Formats: sequence, C-alpha cells, structure tokens
Amino acid sequence: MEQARTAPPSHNRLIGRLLLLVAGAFVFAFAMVPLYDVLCQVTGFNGKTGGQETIRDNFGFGGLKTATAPEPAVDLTRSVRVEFTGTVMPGLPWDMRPLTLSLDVHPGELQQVTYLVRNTSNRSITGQAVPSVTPGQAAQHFEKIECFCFEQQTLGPGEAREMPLAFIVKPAVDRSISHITLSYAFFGLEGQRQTLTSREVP
Amino acid sequence: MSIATTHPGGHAAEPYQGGLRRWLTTTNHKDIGTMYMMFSLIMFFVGGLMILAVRAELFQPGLQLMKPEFFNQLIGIHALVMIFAALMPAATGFANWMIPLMIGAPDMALPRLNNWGFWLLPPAAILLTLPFTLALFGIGDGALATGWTFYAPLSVQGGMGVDFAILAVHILGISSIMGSINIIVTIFNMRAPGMTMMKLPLFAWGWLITAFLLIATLPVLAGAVTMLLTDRHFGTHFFDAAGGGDPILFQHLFWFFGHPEVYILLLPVWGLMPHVLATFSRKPTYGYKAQVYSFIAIGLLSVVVWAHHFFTAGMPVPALIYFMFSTMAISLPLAVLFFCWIATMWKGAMSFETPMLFAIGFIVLFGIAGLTGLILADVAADAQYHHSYFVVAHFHYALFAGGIMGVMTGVYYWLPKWTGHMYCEKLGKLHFWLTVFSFNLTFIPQFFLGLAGMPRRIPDYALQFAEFNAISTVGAFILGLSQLIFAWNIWITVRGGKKAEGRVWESAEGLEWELSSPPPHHSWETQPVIK
Amino acid sequence: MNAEPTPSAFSDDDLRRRRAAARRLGWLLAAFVLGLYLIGLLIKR
Repeated sequence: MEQARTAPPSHNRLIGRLLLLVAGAFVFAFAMVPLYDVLCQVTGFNGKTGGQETIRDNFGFGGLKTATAPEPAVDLTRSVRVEFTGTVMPGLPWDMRPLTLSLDVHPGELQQVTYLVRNTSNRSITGQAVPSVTPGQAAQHFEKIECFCFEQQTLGPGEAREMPLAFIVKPAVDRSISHITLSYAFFGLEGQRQTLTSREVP
Repeated sequence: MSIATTHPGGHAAEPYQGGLRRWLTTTNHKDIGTMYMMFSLIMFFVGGLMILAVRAELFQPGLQLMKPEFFNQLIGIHALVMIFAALMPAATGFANWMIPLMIGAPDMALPRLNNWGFWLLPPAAILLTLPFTLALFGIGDGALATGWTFYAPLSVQGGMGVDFAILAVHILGISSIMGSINIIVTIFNMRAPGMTMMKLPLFAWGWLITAFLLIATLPVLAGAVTMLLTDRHFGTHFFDAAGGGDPILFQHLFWFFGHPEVYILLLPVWGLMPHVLATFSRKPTYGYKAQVYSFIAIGLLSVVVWAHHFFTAGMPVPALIYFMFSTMAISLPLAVLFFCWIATMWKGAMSFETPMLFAIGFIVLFGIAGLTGLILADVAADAQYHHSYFVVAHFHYALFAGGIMGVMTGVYYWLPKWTGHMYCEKLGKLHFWLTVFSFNLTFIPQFFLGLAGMPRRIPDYALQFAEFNAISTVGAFILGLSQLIFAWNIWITVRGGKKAEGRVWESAEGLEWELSSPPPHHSWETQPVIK
Repeated sequence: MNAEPTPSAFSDDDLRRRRAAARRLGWLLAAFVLGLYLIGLLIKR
C-alpha cells in the first residue's frame, strides 16, 4: 500500500524544527523583559527618565562625551510648563503632595521644588519614589540634579518632611513640547512586596 | 474499502471498540474531529449563557441581578471560553476532519498526539469555569475578574480565579501548539503525490498560516502568564513598578499574541469561504494565487501591529504613527480577499442553500467589521473610541459574524459529508435569517452606545444609554435562542435524514467529494494521484 | 469511492437565468457603492 510514496518524508525532523520555533518564541517573551527596558531607556518611551545616569553622561560616559560641545545656556526664547503630581501606592500609609503645582521654566534653567511627604502611621517606614515623565519624548531631556527618588526615604512615626527636587529641562527638548508632567509614585519597601500567598492580614 | 495492513497511522489492526473507550483512545482523525466539533458546540452554549446573563443585567440601568464582581467574572470567562474553547476547537475540528480528506492523506501525521491534544481541552475548560462553582461553596472569590486580557497590575492582585485561568491558558496553549505541529507536518509531508503547494486547497492554506501563527505567538502568551504567575506567588517583579518592572510590558506581551490571535481565528474561515462560494456559484475559485499570497501577507503583518490595542497607554508619536499605518496596511491584502470572494460569485449561477447564505452573510457583516476596524486603527479617533462599546461591537462583527458564522458555513457545508445525511434545509434557512437579524439587532445599537461614550466592562450605566441597551439585550436573547435551532438541526442530521450523495453539492470540487458520505473509517489508504 | 454524478436540481435554462441575475446584481451593487462614494464627496464637512 506504500508504493504511492517513495521514501516517506521524515516527520521527526520537521517536528524538531517546529518545536525549536516554539522554544524560540517562549524565550523571546522573556527576552522582551530586558529588551523593553533598554528600549525605554534609549528612547524615553514610557516616561523613563535618565535620572542619575544622565548626570554621569554629562561627565562623559567612558570619556566619549567629553569632546562634544557644551550644551547651550538657558534658552530664554521659550518656556515649558512643568506640572508636578504624586501618588502613594496602596499599602503605604503615607501622604504626599507637591508644594508647587506647576512652574514655567526656560529650558536650561535650574529649578528647585519640594514635595511634602507625611507618614500617617505610628511606626517608622521606608519608601522609594519612582518617577515618570509625560510625554515620553520629553523624558530624556528632563534631567534631575537632585531628587528624593535617588535614594530610599525613611519617615518616623507621624513625621512630615519636605523633600527637594532640583532639575533642568535641557535646551535640546523639542520645541513642540509645551507641557511636561512629572509624576512620582511612592512604594513601601518595608517587608518588601508581598506576594498573594504570603499576604498577611494587616 | 480494502483492509489496510500498514500505513503511517499504524492503527489499522486495532479492534473496533464501542462506547467511551473508543472516544478516549481513538487516534482516527474523523473521530477526533467529531469530538472537537462537539466540544466546541457545548462550550459555545456555555459561553453564550454567560453573556446572556450579562445582557440581562444590562437590560436596565442599575444593578438588578448580580454583583459587579460576578459581572466582571462573566465577561472575562465568556471571552476566554468563546475564543479558546469554542472558536479554536471548531477550527481544529474542521482541520482534523477535512485536511486529510482534502489532501488525500490516510490520517493526520501524528495520530496519538492528536488524541492527547483533544483530551487536554476538557480539563482546561473545567479549570476555567471551576472557580464559579467553588465560589458557590464559599471557596475563593470566583473566577478571573480582570477581563480576558489579564492586564497587570489588576491580575497580579486578583483572587485565585486568576491562577485557574493562567493554568487553563497554559493547557489550552499546549493543546493548540500540538494541534498546529500536527497540521503543519500533515500538510508538508502527507499530501497526495502530485499535489504541489500551489495545488493545495485554500482551506489547508489558511490553516497552514494559522498553525504557524499559533506556534510563533502562543508561547509568548504562555511566557507572559508565566511571568504573571511568578509575580503573584514567587516574588518576582516583571510587572511591578516598585520592583523595577513595568505593567505596560504585559500589554506588549499580551497583544503580541492577542492580535495575531484574531487572524488565527479567522484564517481557517477565510480558507473555507472560497470552497463554498465556488460550489454554489458553479464556477472555479477566482484568484487562487492572490488569495494564497494574501494569507501569507496577513500572517506576516499580523505580528507587527500589536500596539494598536493600547494607543491610549502612552506612546511616542512616531510609534503611534507606525502602528497606525501598519494596522491599516492589513486592509490591503484583506481587500484582495474580499475582491476574490465577490469575483468568484460574479456571473456565477448562484443558488442559495444554507451554507451559501451564511457565506454571503459572512462577507457583508465581516466587511462591516473591517471598516469599523479602520476607524479604530486611526490614532486620533481611537482616543475617543478606545474601551467603549464601539470596540465591543467591532470585534463581535469580526469574531461572531466573521468567526462563528464562518464556522456555521463550514458546518452546514460539510455536515452531510460527515454524517451521510442531509440537514433540514428549512431549519437551516430559518437559523440563518434569525441569526443575521438578531445579531444586527444586538450589535448595531452597541456601535451607537460606543459613539455616545458608554465604556465597556461596566455592570451599570448612565440613563441616556438605557434604550439602546434594552434593544441590544432583546437581540442577544433572540440570537441565543436561535442557536438552539442550529443544535437541533445538527442533532436530527446525525440521527437520520435524507441520504447524502458522495458529491453532496452538484458542482463541488476537491478530493473530499470523491469519497462516500460518510467517508469510510479509514480513507485514502491508497493515496490518489493528482495530475 | 462512489462518485456518481448528482442529478442536477437546475435546468440549463435556470442556470443561465441565475448567471444573468448574478451579473445584474453585481453591477447594481457596484453602482450603489459608487453612488455612496460620490455622495460622500459632495457632503460638506
């Protein structure tokens, strides 16, 4: 009955190749994690700011950048409105609000604002602020010189603290950008994040 | 038929078994195809009942029948059941039954894998719906309540229904991947001598592209839900901003699978349409090559357009523009398909048996899905329509009128071949007209609701949306009830009815019509030779 | 493998009539779509 087919094609080799494709796609999903992060850092997608690394850039990353011309000074011909906002993530009994809601700045100008953060509980808690800048294209030109988000902050029971932030909107920012929103999300670090299985009754 | 001694399936010598044992252990492509179709039909009604409960709640503003938490569970599980347990198994059932018959192969290439692939489905369906039952007994807080998209961080915080759904998706994914490998190997290695790739029936071509898409994208979904699982239970931070992760990453991963999934569901239907249209127009298929190339083009484009599902999540303008234009570019090969379908009917001696009615209904309604899809692909317009009922109406035109009605086309077309009996033409036509009428009655109002600003996935709504919601609910109930005619028609066709000829439709072309109806248990043991 | 030809349900005349009807309907639909397109051009936004 097999005479119709000369040398039946090998199923196993084809199956092997297809399984390789499956494995490749699965690995691709996990490779997206670092790739996506790199993409966001490079392009400013998703509002990831340069933060401290930008400062390091200015001193020359591996000496490569020292040769480039210094950035032009303050661009007085235009201004950008920077708006400040902040949220405290669930599980952290803190309050936060910016003391300056918005500010018109000339690109290149050094500015300083403060956030008021208060611990509403009666124990000492450590938190970490994560910044995000909108629109994404502005993120890479938003340089933080000093920021409470650079390190973890510990607040004692009921303690309130003014937290400073110094920044420059770099003159290289596109002229089409007239508004920038800076948002902070404060996360609690105490006991680290709890998974659902380890969740305790508060 | 002659008694085969050996063939690639290697099951010829098995003694006939009746009862449950037969279905549990069968490796016959026809038996497995039947099981897929039956499973799909049952889950179609399960998913339908869920959404009828939803529509009943939405009949009036205010909360009458259920708590919002339960409402949220119903919509998400409805979608997962319809996509993974109704539409995909129906397509796989078609493939199992028809591809070996159409390409002159004695069976699928990997019959044991085939059996396993099917029997993974019922446990997965149980996993998906079990949390509903458990919640009745006070265990857990019900099924997945995030909508079918599992968006983080909501899904990271959700109850144990999310874990059930994650495991169900894993199992369904494994089953689909095994099915896809089987179909690719069958098409590549087991075609009748002389059947070159460019003589392959279009149905097999459509399924081939679907199978490759499944293999390329389902593992990405499996990876994404695995990350979700480890985020939930093992302290990783893939999607948790506090730990340096990113919730938007989940949307990218999900839709990298999710968009091709639309074409995974539709390509088998697009492959089947030319067969039906050519048969009832009594003309050869128009533009075979153009359709094959369109399938390939759509398959390739579908994996590079995913981010149009979350334009509003925040993206730089160049990315928005790229995803907008690449999405719109898909309408070009799709327009080629539409043109070929219409040109096949052009000047044909058309007759309007039930499969033809469903095919024409498919073309008209699926056209509306395509046109409304273009509106949603527009970045500027999408800002308003995103997450509104406009989107709900759009994808039901794509997946009900495109997917489910396409499957019904195939069922009516091939049911006489499978059972050896003609279905009841009167009931078939009644089913068609009721379905088309009530489908439009259900979903046209939802376009208007979306344009007026009603968001999707809410159990309650503002008063000004009341009339359209009431109309939509009435339509949904007629739509649901008319599917009982479909089930009844299938039942009486299986039990008896007018004897069907081998060539069921007088001008049907293809190897499957050379066999008797129903075909012998083992067919094409001697492969036909194609000239 | 019993592939007896199915007795045709339609006479040759009937088939010819159906072909002509399909062609007429095709032109009608084309004219309708063209009409919609022209109306769209004329609408002032």
